[in-house]
Amino acid sequence: MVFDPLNQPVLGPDLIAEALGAFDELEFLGRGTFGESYRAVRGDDEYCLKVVFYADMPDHLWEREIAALSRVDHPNVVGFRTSGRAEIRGKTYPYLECDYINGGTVKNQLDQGRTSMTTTETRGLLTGLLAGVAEIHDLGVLHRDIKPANAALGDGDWGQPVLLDFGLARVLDMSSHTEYPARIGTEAYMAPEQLRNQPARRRSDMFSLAVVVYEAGSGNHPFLVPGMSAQSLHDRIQNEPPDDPRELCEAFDDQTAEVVLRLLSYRAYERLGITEAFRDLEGD
Amino acid sequence: MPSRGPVFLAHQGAQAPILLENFLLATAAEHPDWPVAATVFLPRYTPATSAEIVSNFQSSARYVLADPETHRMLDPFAERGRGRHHLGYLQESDPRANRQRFVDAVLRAQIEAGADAVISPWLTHGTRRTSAHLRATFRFAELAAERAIIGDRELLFGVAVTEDVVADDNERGELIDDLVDLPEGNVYLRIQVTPPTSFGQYAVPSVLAGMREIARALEANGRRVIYPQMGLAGWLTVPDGAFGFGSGISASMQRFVAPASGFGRPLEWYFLPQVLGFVLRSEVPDISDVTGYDECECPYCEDLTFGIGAGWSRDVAGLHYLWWCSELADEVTNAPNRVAALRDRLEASREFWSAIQASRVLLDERSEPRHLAIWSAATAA
Repeated sequence: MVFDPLNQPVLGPDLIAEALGAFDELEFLGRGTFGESYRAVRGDDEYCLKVVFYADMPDHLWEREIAALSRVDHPNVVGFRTSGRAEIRGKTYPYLECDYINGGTVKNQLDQGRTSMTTTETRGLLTGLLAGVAEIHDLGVLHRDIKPANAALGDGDWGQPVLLDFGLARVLDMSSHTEYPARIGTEAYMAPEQLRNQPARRRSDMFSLAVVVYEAGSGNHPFLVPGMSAQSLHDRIQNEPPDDPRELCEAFDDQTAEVVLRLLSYRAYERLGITEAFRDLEGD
Repeated sequence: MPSRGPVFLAHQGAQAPILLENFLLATAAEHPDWPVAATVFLPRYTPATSAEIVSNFQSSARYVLADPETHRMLDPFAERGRGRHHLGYLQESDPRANRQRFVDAVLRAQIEAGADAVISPWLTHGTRRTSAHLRATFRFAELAAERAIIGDRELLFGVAVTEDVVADDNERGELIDDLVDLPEGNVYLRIQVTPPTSFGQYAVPSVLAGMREIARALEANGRRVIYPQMGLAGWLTVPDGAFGFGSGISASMQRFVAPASGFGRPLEWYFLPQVLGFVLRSEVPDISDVTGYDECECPYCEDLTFGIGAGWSRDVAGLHYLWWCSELADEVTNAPNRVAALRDRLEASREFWSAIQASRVLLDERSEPRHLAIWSAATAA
């Protein structure tokens, strides 16, 4: 395992356990855009604990997201349990408890060099992510930060993707008060309108999920070249359509490839909506 | 209802409403299949008059809209039309701050006028550097979509932008992005244009291309757009998915020659269907000698006297124009291949213009159908 200095805990399990009480296990999972995540075990109960890097955050900033999270009951969106606040070093950090998805994330798979997927797996990943995005959009919330690290895989199965952390990017986007510098959203997976610093929209999420599927299926990012700036990335999305993934690998059937390519359109209105994406996947 | 389109939307303008009412009656009687609807502009009348006009039009138009012209909210109160003393929404001091009340009042005004469908209000985007008007317009649209007051009526999302917005790739792209994110429904898109000089047809290539792209993109996303007050420039977009275009007997029919001193005399324009544009009525006799000229068979031309002298009725000439808008709408709408039908018509018009030139008939510079080449190029792609 390569040591990644950016993926080390900032608060750490000791401080968290001190604030929230002892755990049977508290395993650091990773550090993301908005905070750090742990696999927490108390007795027979295993769940994911996420501590947000926004000390003393006012409730109103995420009331809407919490309300939406608590209404979710969908196999492709992480289940929410509760939220609270932890007193750490004299500050109050908000935290969430969600279902723990045993199977790692798409990012874990990519980091491990797993790129050879079957067409069934790729289609399953796309279908699952579309279903998850449809669910949160129906709740009136945008994800805004879909990326491989935010797509868990139930039991490691590509056909059971589970969206994590939806809506939280907006909370942090509303304020520059994040304690630890973190870009809101992840440039490599942002839709071009987000890269232009315009508000995210539903089809921004569609673009991001298509990048994830393209990268997972082909092993290649559709646009990004190492060292590329956000502006260069934006220009490339605008001017150079991605290679057809069918020319890169055998993980895409025709419908999956065509839907993914449509979702990677520069203009949001040229991307498919969720209904149209499902329709095209079914080949109607 | 509007979603059934496409239609030609005849606008009640400055002329007496009985003119348009009779036009609609005659058209419905003689050509019941023609897709003709009508619009009444609410601020121009008292509510009682609007309701009466709408009711009279409804007997023969496919449907009638009551356009609230909310772009007038950016004008001083005194310039908000005759209805400003009667219609609550025109008295609103700040539509954005009081948006719920404003939206309700706009919808209620249309419903009380008896409109068959209602249009959400708008503020014109593109007149200022910010997108505040556009954001407000979309907020109005969302609020309108939530209002139970509209009942079973179809809701059109009203949007107004300047022609610069339509012409600019980025601004247009962002506009379409926003339009496709609206709740389900069709779009009533006003484009604020710089009027063509004289009585020429609107022919700005970048705007025409933008209008076509908007129509295509919205159709691809399950929506349709109607272009009110765009005349035949809107007709060009019907094959791209627009579900209507609108025109009235324009006040420009009364335009005067720019005087060197004192007053000029009114120009007397005639819509020459074979060039899809306007010529001076004094030029028609010469044009009628050109090989290939077809005498107009509309019910109005028999009351028009061409050449010099005798009387001329702008109103009748205007009804002739509306008749042709209806005919052209029908021609394209009901063609098995709309694109081909439109291109054939444009091609025939260009051929006739070539014949006019070959016959050495000299037209006033303002009568030359320069729009034809631009329209053909704009619809070629």
